[in-house]
Amino acid sequence: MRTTLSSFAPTLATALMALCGVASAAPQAPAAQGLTVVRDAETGELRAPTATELRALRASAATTTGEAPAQPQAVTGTRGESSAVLGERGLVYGVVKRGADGKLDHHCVDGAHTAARILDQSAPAAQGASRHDHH
Amino acid sequence: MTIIERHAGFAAGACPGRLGHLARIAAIALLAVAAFATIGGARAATIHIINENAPGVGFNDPTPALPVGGNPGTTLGEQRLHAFRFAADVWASHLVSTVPIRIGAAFLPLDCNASGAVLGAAGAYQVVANFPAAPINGTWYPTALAGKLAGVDFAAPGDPHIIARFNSRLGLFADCVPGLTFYLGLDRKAGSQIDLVATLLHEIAHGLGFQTFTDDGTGAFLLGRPSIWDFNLVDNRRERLWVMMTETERVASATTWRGLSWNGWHVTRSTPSVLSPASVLTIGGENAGAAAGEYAVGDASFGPAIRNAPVSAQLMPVVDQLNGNGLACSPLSATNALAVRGNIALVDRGSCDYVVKARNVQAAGALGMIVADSAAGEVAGMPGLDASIAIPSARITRADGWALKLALQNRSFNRSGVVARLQSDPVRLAGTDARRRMLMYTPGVNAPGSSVSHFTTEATRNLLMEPSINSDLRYVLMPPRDLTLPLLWDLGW
Repeated sequence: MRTTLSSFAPTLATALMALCGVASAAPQAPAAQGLTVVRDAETGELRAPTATELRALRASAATTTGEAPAQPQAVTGTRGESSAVLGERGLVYGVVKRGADGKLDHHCVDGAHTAARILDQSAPAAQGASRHDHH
Repeated sequence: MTIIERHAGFAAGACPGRLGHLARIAAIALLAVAAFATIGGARAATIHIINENAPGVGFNDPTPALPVGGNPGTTLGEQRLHAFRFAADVWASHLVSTVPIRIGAAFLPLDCNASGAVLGAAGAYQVVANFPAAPINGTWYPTALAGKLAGVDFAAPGDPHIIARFNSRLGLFADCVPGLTFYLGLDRKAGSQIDLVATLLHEIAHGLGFQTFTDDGTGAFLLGRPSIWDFNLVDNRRERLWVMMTETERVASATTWRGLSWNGWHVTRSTPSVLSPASVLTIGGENAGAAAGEYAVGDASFGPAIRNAPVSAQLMPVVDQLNGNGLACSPLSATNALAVRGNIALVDRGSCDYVVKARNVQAAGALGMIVADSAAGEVAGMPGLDASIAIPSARITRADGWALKLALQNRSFNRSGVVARLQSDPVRLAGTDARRRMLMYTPGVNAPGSSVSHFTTEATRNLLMEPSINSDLRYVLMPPRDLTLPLLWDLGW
């Protein structure tokens, strides 16, 4: 198997599929280290993930489980560039909230937790967040 | 643009589990062919949508649907895919890159309850620094932009440059804002529904780079490096670039209303062709007292523009609630009609659309309408359409509304001694600083992800990259309608 950064990703899709298969008994549970396997793109065998693969898996899994995103790590690529997978950390969330008067307020915020906090608020608008009526 | 089917099992609780080797190989092969076919092709960028939904859900939802608003899909999944493709095509036609842009997309059950929902989320999947041909070293670029600048795809094959998730349950279940659904038409006729195409255009922009990777709550750079975004931000009170400031200074500027401007050349040169003169409310008169002065206002999408219909008259409140507020959601009583006739009506936000309030005070003879917000925050505009409305309207903050009501306490049936003047600023544009640089959204209380990474809500006309999707947006990204594309040009697109 190729181990350079640029050649890792072909394994990601298959790794995720393998992850789903392994975790099928508890599909909502975050992937725990030690229980995670990836399918090698070249051999087809299941094996433990490399550190880079594990980071990518966690970042991807966080987008579907609501798990807090992993802190990104900088890695050096084959051309000398630095890169960091943000996964869910890079997402900007659009949220809509219907106020007591029936009107809609829009918010555009960073992170799943901020979005969830807006939804949990009983007030029609979160202080500090933008408030635009939908109509 | 190419639709790539990659069933990676991203639907919550719906891992495909038993996809065979052949299917996996075919999915990866499809991706490779699509990318190869576009390299060296047309000048415009190519955007691949990677369908990450499992069979039967999301983009693959087989629920029958009637074609709507130019969307020819006959299932819910097909219509979602058509809308996504439409939005991606709009973006692809405006970007130039030899590296195809991959958007990993899925409709998933995102957070929601009976009164609110996460509509969707998007952003850059990866950032890159110190790459060959990087305009500024030691600086994070979203991976799609880095690829365009270097002519090299820094994402691993199959990895997305942008990830995008949208709520598959919105309006379709009793516990997910029942009745409020995505409008899947392509004709901007969403009405009271959520325009999916406009939402997609906004979210894809974030993924292309319309965001900072610096923490706007702490001021800390991501892994010690600034984002290319940060080089274009300037604290307009001190004329200092964000990248030159301390973390504490960045936090302060991110929470100073009207304190942070976009310094990029493309946006600044385009503001006069996109934005209208700023509207301003001036309060004076013998009873104005401490309320005298200038107030920031949000413009209305209905009625005449204030620059075309300036007005000056006594300010009189509508009072139709037990707490002293005035909603003006129904025809005014004789007392309220007497108060506002020939004057400017002050009403409160809430309970009905702004155009309803405007119709009612206009019918009573008001010359203009000022709406005081019902929630804390900064000024914002008032959406709505009604060709019958002939009086100008403006929206002020709740705090400013309270100040005006205080000054209006000593009044007769039809006179207050408080004079309101609605007119346009001869210099400032609606949404810019005094140098006509675009203001960024910086509410007094930090709104993570909303602050700094959006245009101000004061912009008139409404812009795609304000913190919310306004109903009067067109699917246009560039002047004279919008400033989104000039901002991406400033980043290097």
